[in-house]
Amino acid sequence: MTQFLRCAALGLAGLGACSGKSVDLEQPMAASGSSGAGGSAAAAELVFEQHGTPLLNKLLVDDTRLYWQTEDSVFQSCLKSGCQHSVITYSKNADQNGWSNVAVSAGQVFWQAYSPRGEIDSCPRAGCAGKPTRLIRDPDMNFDAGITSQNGDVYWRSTFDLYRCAASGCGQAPAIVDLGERDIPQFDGAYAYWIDSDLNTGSTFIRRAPLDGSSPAATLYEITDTPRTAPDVQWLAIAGDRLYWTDRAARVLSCPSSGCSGDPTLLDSSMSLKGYLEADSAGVYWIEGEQYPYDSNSVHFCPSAGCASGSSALTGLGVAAYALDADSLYYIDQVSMDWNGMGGQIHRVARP
Amino acid sequence: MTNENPLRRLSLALPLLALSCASKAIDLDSKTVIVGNPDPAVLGTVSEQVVTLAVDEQRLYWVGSLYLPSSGFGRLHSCDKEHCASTLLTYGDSPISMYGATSGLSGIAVRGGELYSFRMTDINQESLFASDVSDPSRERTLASGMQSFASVIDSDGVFFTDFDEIYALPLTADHDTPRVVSPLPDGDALILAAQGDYVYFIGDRNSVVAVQRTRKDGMGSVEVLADNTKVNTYTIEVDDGEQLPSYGLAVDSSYVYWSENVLVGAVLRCPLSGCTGAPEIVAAPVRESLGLQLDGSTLYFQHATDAFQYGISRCTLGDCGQPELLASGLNTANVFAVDDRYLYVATSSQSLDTINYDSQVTPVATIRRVSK
Repeated sequence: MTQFLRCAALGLAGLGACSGKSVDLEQPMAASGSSGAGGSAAAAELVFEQHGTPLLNKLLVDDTRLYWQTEDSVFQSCLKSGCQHSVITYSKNADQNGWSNVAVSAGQVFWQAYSPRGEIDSCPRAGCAGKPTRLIRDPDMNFDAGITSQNGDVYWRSTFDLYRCAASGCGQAPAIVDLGERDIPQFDGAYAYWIDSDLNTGSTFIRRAPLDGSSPAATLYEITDTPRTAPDVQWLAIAGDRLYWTDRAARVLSCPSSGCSGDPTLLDSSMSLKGYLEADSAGVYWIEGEQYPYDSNSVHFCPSAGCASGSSALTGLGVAAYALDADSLYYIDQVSMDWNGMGGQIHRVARP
Repeated sequence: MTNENPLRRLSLALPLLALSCASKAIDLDSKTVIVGNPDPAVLGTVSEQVVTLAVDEQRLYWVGSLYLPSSGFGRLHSCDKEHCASTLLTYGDSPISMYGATSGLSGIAVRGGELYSFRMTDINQESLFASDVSDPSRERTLASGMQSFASVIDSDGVFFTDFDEIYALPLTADHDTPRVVSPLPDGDALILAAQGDYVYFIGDRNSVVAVQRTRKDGMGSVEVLADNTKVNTYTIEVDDGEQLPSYGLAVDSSYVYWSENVLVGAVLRCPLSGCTGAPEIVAAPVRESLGLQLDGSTLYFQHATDAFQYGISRCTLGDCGQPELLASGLNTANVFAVDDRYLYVATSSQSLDTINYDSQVTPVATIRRVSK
């Protein structure tokens, strides 16, 4: 599986705006069949709901807890079992501007604070028990790029570098990490993967490097001299031996995670907007739908072997964000929000 | 509050300086209260943010503001170094714009018994004044109607930039029109230093931040000495808006030195004629390396010590592996000065991220000196 979750910033920018892509939206969705309002393709279990509060719009999950943000920058979590009555709040000023300004790893939660911007705070996932720890202030921090975490370390981008800091503290000199030129990396096993580009030639790359630095970064896939209207790499997910991505034409493509030896495998070519890829050993997941405000968005799945007859919708419409753990798919259902646009629900369905 | 001077209530309309405060006014009648201290290492405590310092043989000069530099304007003061609290002077009725005062130790300069300062005389309009250091009422105007975001003074004159061009004025100017030294069609200039026949500067050039120089006489073209530097030129978001970054640039007879003002930064140098390869690392890593000053073979550099906290370290050129931290808890970025005997700094125990235009927190700073 990829990092915990590349979750949605849909509440701010919408699916299309976040990824900066342009696709033909007149093509009908490939497969859905669900009717929204919480009615998912599989039997969905209500895990959490709240009313009269700002919308839920980002979601993470680990082995014990669910984590989310609300549109007023509150960062909270609950136990996966008994969520409704175990909610704790980490922060009321977690940034919302990037696609993922919160992260969780090795029992520690991280978030980019706002305001002032340029700060990463952290707490144990069980709660802050007082004031959060300010891990670092980097005045040059790129809050649009968001953060990610792996093995208890948090990663963020600045104008020139990618930095890493341990949850125990950064000291005076956090590490400069050579993983990712212009993108926050994703992690899978012993490797980091990232999307790279050459601004001079217009080429786009998928690259990876071992976390232990034992060998230099390798290019897994390259599209050369791509004009803005041609396919390039939009969203990336890795699971074991497979690498998945979407391109500007909203196709879902796949290659071995060791690199493409020829043309990538085309998994889905429906023209609906796609984003927020996740993957596991069974296949690849994404949010498919037109745009904010979520009404047409649902989580789709395609097995790693392919989905010639079209991807399957795992949820109903109205999905703002989703996350995967070992057994389940969790998603924020915004169709169930209050009449005045507040609140929301988190549902759970079994994974394929 | 009086109405003697219309500039005493200035709308903070300078867009680069007061992005979040455009409709607000600032009370410039506030008095600088300075309290002495029997400790000879403490010159005094002032009720303002000290945002830049300068020194000559007799006096210490500073720009003070009620808020962080992002919030607009400051006032120019001085005192006798040995009897500071009883010898306070304030220069001019018009305020100093914070950008020039904080971008790189170049906002004010004292030379030949005169204190040079760019001060606001109208919205987005500054004048360059030279004040008698011991008698602020004796003041001459070198030029008016310009903007200066960074400046440097040497025996050849005053050099300043409005981002788009570098200008020059002779020290003897009397309501003159500044001469264009170098237009900068491909970029801008953010901090200046002067040495010999050249003005050195850091600025964008074709979207890359570069260390550059141009001849003072305006002959020839701009030379790039080092490019692709890790100098952040983007504004920094703070509580009350945006704050402009601080820079470091210094020159001696052989090298130009600059700061990489990023989280894991450094002090680098190149020969005055430019680097043929990678710049030489003088000190690294340095957390947010900021202002630089050279004192013979000693390099003083300001840097962050933690979030919103700054210190001053020094090292001997060629032996900067383990710089010596001389002072910490500095008031803001780029606030130190050096004379023959002392390093002067302004420190504060307040958390700098809480002092802004909206917080209504009264800043307090202590001006200290540390024996060299």
